Amino acid sequence: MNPKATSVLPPIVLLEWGGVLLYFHLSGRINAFLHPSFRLNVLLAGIVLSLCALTLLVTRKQSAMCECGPAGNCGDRRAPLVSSWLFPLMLLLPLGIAASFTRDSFGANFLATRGVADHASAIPGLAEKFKKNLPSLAQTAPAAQIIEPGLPEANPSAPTGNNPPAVEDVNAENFFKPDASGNIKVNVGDLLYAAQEPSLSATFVNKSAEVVGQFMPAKTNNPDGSRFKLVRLFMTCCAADAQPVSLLVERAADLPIPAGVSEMGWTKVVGDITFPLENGRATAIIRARKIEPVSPPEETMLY
Amino acid sequence: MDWFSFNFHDFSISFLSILFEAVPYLLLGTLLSGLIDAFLPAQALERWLPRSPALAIGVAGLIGFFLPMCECGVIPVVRRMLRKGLPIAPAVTYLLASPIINPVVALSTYAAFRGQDPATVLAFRMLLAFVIACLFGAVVLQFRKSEILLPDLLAQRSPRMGNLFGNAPVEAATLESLDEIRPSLGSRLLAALRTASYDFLDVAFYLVLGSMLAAVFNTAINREQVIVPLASNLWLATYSLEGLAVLLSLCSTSDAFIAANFVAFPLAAKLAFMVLGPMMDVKLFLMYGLIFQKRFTIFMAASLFIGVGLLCIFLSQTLP
Repeated sequence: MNPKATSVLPPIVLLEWGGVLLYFHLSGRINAFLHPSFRLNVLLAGIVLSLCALTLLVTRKQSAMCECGPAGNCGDRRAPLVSSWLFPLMLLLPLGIAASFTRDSFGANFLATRGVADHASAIPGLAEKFKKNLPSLAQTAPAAQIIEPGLPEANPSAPTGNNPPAVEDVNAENFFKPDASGNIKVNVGDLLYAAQEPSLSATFVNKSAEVVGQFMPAKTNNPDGSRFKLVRLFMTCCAADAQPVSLLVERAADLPIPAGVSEMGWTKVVGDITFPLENGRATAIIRARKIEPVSPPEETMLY
Repeated sequence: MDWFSFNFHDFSISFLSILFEAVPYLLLGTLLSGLIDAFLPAQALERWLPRSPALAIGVAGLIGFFLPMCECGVIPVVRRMLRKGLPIAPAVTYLLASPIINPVVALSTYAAFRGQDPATVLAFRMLLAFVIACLFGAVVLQFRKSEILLPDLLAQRSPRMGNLFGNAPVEAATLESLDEIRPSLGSRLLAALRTASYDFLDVAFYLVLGSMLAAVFNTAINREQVIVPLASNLWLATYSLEGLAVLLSLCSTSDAFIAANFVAFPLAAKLAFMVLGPMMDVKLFLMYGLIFQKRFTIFMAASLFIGVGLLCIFLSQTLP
């Protein structure tokens, strides 16, 4: 590349990077990509990168006259890459294309390759969240451990280290109060956790609940075709580590799936909570009375 | 379901999220690198390190506690330190150790393994990282500088520290006279920002490449088909998680959260994942090309891959 291009491209690249970071943060789209603890970093990095770009732009002529000594004190050391055609190819295009065309949620292909867990232990830190909501658990329940969803369980019916012990004196009712329509609002993770914990499942069972998740057809454990899954993805640090978990929903024959509900579309289900024994273990299943498409929640990948 | 299934939208979310998570830490590293370049005299490094090579390597392995960097951010810092004349063996030791032996990673490891004996996991992770980094630092002493560093980096190195470890004596009259010229604070800060910008661009090139590869692996490879057969055998589990660490190219500040997910894998495999990943992965392999000769980088990758695995397996078999 000619010298003019090599002096102009670095600030352009930095401006693009800074602009993308600032855009994603200020537009709120960053919520779909990063855990809250990392989001402020993006804003700060966007500001600093933009400042770096402006510095390079403003001092461009000055640096052209600078003769760097061995100490390199003018800071104008350019790597060979900067003058290579690979430089704009790698630093401008991938980020630009991905930022322009990305959606804010994963599709069905991601679930197929990653594997969807139907067990609360797949959600990092779930037990900790419950400890906050249910103080009685804080004294007895261990932190949830996590299973690799692709791995078969050695003996699903046997109690394992992943299963929290029985807890007495659970006062979940104080924390999941019914709304005006008589439904308690629960998360997919709440019910998966409750399925593992007998005291909690006793509290939830037969309650009318409202659950929101992404619609997925149930390809297994669906003998008469009346079931589907509500899927949620939970991230630990960023979307790349998101773990999909799913809750089974069973609908009556006279309750059709509305036309607006599509694969991975956000869906609200209202129905009764049950914990039947399936394949040797308690499984959370919602017997649906109402199914409708809804807008995505503000935080799509946080518990 | 095929073992490989690519989808652009899934890829782009994964790619951007890895970048968004890593860029601030990378920027922090390059800013520090710029400040080191503008404000740290070459003599300071010489004063800080013990004269004995073994002690210098040991101290370098622990510097991360005071100069905490993630594995992306440490590369421009080490490159800058090498330019300033830091001896290669301690520099390599710091490069390998600091992404793990630092307070941020200690906290994240402890938090991630809550409920899985976090103190033991944390202690073994730090210990293994220190041992591996120091051992490799000692191995580096056996190489000639020209076999390790890129020619341009070697040419830019300050000869001030050449008297350490039996190398040629100082011939730095020109540099001494340059050091006497003290630019103003403003111009030094400006120079630091310019240096940081160019360092960022250099390293970001490889970060993009590594993030793209990691995103493909994260979204296109079927985990069930690839992972299930690997978990039941100690050797296979350890080296397969090492391979996963290499492919995923995760940041050391967050990799423990991923490692904690592999409950079915033995502790040795999880430790190998958390010790090797911050030292050598796809992204780092490419980034090391900014400092090291290709042959040395390949040697480093192979010996770390084998060595970390062996040490983790040995540790797991000697523990009760």
